Amino acid sequence: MIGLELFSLQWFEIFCGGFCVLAIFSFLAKENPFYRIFEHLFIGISAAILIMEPIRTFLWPQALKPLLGMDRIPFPDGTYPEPYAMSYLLFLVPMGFGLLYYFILSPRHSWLAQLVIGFSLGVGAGLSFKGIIVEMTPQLTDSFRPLYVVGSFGESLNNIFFIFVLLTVFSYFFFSFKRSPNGLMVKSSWIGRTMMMGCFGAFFGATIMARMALLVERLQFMIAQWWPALSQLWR
Amino acid sequence: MTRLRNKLIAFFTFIGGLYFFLEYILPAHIGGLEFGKYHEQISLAVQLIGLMAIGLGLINIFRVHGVRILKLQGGWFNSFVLLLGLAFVLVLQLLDFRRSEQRSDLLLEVKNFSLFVNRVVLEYEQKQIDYRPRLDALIDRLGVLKTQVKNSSSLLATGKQLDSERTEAQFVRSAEGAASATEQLKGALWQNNYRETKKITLDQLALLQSVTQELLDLNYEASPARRWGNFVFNGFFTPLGSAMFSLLAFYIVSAAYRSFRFRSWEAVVLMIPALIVMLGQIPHGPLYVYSGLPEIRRWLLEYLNTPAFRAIFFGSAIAGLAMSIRIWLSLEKSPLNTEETKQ
Repeated sequence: MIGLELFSLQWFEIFCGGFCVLAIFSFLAKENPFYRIFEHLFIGISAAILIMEPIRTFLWPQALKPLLGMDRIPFPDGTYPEPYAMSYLLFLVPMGFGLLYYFILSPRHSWLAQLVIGFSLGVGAGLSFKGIIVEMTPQLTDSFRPLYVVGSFGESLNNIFFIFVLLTVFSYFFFSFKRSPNGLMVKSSWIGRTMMMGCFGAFFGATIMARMALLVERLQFMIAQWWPALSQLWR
Repeated sequence: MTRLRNKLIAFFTFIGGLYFFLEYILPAHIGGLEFGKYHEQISLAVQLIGLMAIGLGLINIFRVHGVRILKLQGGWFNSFVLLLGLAFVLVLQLLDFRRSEQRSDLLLEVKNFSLFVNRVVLEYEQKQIDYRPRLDALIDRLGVLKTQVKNSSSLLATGKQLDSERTEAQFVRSAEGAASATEQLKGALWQNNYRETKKITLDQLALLQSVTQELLDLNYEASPARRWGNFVFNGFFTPLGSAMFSLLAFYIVSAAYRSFRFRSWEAVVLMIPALIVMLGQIPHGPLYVYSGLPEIRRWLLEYLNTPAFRAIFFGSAIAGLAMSIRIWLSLEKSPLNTEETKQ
């Protein structure tokens, strides 16, 4: 690495990064304590970041700071740009209700935590109505494709195939009435199953390539950054 | 008593979903009532309720791993490393957070100087409130900030960094310029001819604000908490995460070898699109076998993958909708139901 000072913070950053990669890849040989330690380290670091992120980006700036009046910076003469909004005190209600979660730690009063868990489940259910319909509607309208496109035979064939796959896969999950052996539904669902296999194959290929991209990036890091940084030790 | 509690839980579950359900299905205005008027506040409150559980996760981690360490159970050292990493990053994040907050507060204070000058002039015009002590307070504050930079004793002092000395000198000049312009504004207000001077003062304060922003950014990036935070992120978190996920590539390939052998019709159908998608994504090299593969790959993803996944999604979405209604109306058997749990 040109321009990287030995034992500087950047050097240690690269050195530790490579060490971490080696520790994780050591799992390929067999499960070992070296891998376990770094796996736990990753969980610890991730947990800390996941805990702090919502506090930094939401809890403090949007709730606690205005509630405590700390979002108002005084002018040089000691007056404030705007008065404290008493409506911020209303934040205490959801915060107090949310604190009921902690009763889950008390066997006697755990039912109080169930109130807030139930409330959250209800909110999740209420939001999912909107979420599902908002997500489904554009896909549903896009699925109504013209089977004959004027002047484009290829496009027409593509659309026919699209609808064919959609309907056959639908038929695989259609259990509302009894299927007669060798009936249309049985054949259609067999085709649907085959189409799904093709779809899973394509998805599988895309997933492998995404993982491979990560692997290549790590190998590039090891070869282009870590090894030159390490070799500075005996140069 | 238990039945009453269960009814209460069901009631809270119903209330939780009711607003968001109605907010979606009802029109925005019903007569004179605007239904979603407080939607932002209600969403904020719901998020706050959820966020209160953050500490619970932390307590559980400390309980599970703390007990393992105290009792020296198997894997106690791993737990120790986990808690050490957690505590270290938490402390770093807290220090970084504190610094970042101090930085944004100071920047807001400097931004507010322009607002302050406007207010002082307006209140003098409308209510005849004395402007002199108020503008003197601003001049004093500018003097304090300037001295702090000179003595390297505030967030505006960056130490001996690249470009920082130049920016520090710029800050001192801007603060002096702003103080002098404010002094002139006082005189102009006395003579009741202040329009031009006020504009000059506001321009000086705007300049000061941009230099302050630059200085605070330099200071923040140079702070130990920030640098060590970056060290942990780039030296541990990113490589560990990437390596962990790339490790799966080996296992996926190994699983593919076992399942993709031509043993059944489905295996063949699974393998061919997978191969096309993989080969179609390779831009060059020995595995770049055919120039038309990217187009075939695109066609497969658009006309086979999309409708098949869409059909699966429609089915699961309808099932999800039904499940949501059951949860919302507490028709679903739930571990929250204490009576059922006891049975």
